Amino acid sequence: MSIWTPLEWLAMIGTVGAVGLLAGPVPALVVTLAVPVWYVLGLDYAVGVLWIATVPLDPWATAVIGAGSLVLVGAALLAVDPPSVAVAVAAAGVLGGIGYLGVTTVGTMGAGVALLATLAVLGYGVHRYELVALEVLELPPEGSA
Amino acid sequence: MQPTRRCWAAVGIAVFLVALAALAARPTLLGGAAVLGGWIVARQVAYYRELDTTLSALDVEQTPEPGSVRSGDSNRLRVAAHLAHPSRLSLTVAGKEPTSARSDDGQLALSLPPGASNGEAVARFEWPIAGTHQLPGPSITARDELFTEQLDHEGDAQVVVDARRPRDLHVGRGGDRYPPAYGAHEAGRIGLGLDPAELREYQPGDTMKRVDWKATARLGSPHIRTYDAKTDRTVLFVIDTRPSMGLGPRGETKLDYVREVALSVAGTARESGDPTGVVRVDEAGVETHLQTGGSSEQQMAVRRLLLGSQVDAPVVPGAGEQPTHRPNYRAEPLEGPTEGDPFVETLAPFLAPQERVLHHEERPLANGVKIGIANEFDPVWTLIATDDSKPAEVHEAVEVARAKAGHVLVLLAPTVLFEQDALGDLENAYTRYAAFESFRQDLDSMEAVTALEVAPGDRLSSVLAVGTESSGVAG
Repeated sequence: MSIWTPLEWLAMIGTVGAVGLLAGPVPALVVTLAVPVWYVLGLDYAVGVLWIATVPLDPWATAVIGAGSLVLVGAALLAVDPPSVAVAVAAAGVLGGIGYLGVTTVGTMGAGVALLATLAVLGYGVHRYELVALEVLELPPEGSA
Repeated sequence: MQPTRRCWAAVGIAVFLVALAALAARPTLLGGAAVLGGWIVARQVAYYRELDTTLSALDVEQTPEPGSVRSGDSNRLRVAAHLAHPSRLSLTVAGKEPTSARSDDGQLALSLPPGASNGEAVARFEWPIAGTHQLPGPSITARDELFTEQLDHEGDAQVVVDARRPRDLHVGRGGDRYPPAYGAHEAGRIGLGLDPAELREYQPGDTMKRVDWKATARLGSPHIRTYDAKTDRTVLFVIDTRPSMGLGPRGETKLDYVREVALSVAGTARESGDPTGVVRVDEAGVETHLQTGGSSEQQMAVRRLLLGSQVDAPVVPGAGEQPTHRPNYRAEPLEGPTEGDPFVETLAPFLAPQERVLHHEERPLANGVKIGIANEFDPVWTLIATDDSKPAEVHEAVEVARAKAGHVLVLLAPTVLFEQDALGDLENAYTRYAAFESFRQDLDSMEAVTALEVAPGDRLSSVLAVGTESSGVAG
């Protein structure tokens, strides 16, 4: 069970309203259905449900719901660590850009694989940075092989 | 940092969205994977930032209480953690069990849930091995919803485990300490050794080769340089290992105390190159007899025997059998049919003295001295390490040792100072100590005998303080 901050409540209500205004009642209902999923299972499940629910919807509604999911992610991160919102936006941008480029060049499957590979590289990079920064690992001396 | 199951679940959702995008030919679902991926990476960065802040605010102390124990004792290890400001991470600080310690208290670990600032955990450890033990630093596990990390904290605490051995060793007379170099001795005469002693004028009878020509030229008349003679003094250690010598706490028994002094004397003898030998006496008689000798191997053997001296187990009346590990220096009675056996008939005369040995077992200390000096031709410096439980026997042993025209050093452990509850009644303890002191003085007054008390100094001081107070009151 999640404990929402006021900012998260506000983001959720605002997203439902904005999606309703911009894409109509059905997309707004989709976002509303994602609310209990977030509450019970967590934000990642809610984002998954939101995006799966866009399958039968038109591209405009998909785009609006997609933007709404990014808002929810940003609100959740603001409650944890505000500077990491920028990281989320940047990382999502990079991953989305790789997906878009992949779709236009090698197809959806290839784009998906490239996206996941990039996610793995980003995650491992942050992990290694953490180890060095916390002096769990030491950098090899300059000039060594 | 390691991903938690929750993190893997988020990754799984992203993979599912990618797979669905490919299968349903809906590339827009890749957008969902991108948003989720961005969220995961951002949470990773947020975790690292929080961990960095938390570690800089975290103060972990691992303290042994007390830091110094005696082998076999136990102490408490306390792990305390303090956060200068609360963290949103869940922290676990776990002390690692030292390799050389044992604990029945389970794991030494404390938890700091998110928002908590202080925590403490205590466990009791037993330290069976003497030495300085560096305590391994505790490990810190920091966890949030998606990630966890375990880090080792530097440990600087140590536990010093002292071997159980006599402490505050007092050797002296009536509470006064005796000079520490027990057994040191001078050659006592001038001779032809290597160390120059003095320069004197030539006298008729001196050989020409002893003339110091440089001194003669310098002083204008013939001079002789003399040198210190090297002499050997035969030292015999007679160690009483009967049950009464086992009185006292582990590692601080009467035997442990007198052994310390005996080892000191043995060290002095080794430096002087004196021949040494050991007789160990137990309830049944002479348990070990090492003939005197001056080689370095002999000196080491003497030291080993002194160090390895253990108090004999109490003899159970009627038990009859001797422990099988005892040295078989006495002829064992021949068992089985012996009549007409030429082997037995040949050995029978040699077995006859067995009866005499058995007779001596009634006074093993005197017998031990007698056996020890039996084959010595030169005067023997005899060290008898015993207690005051059998005064007549000690007296007899000293008389036997004196008969060899040597010097006798008697190390006496006063029983009253080794009984754990004896100091509960200090007046009575003082009375008993006075009786001991009278016995010691009696021995000490004998010609060529030095009788010293060997005891824990602090306990002796406590008893003597009563005597001082009594004198003060009386005065």
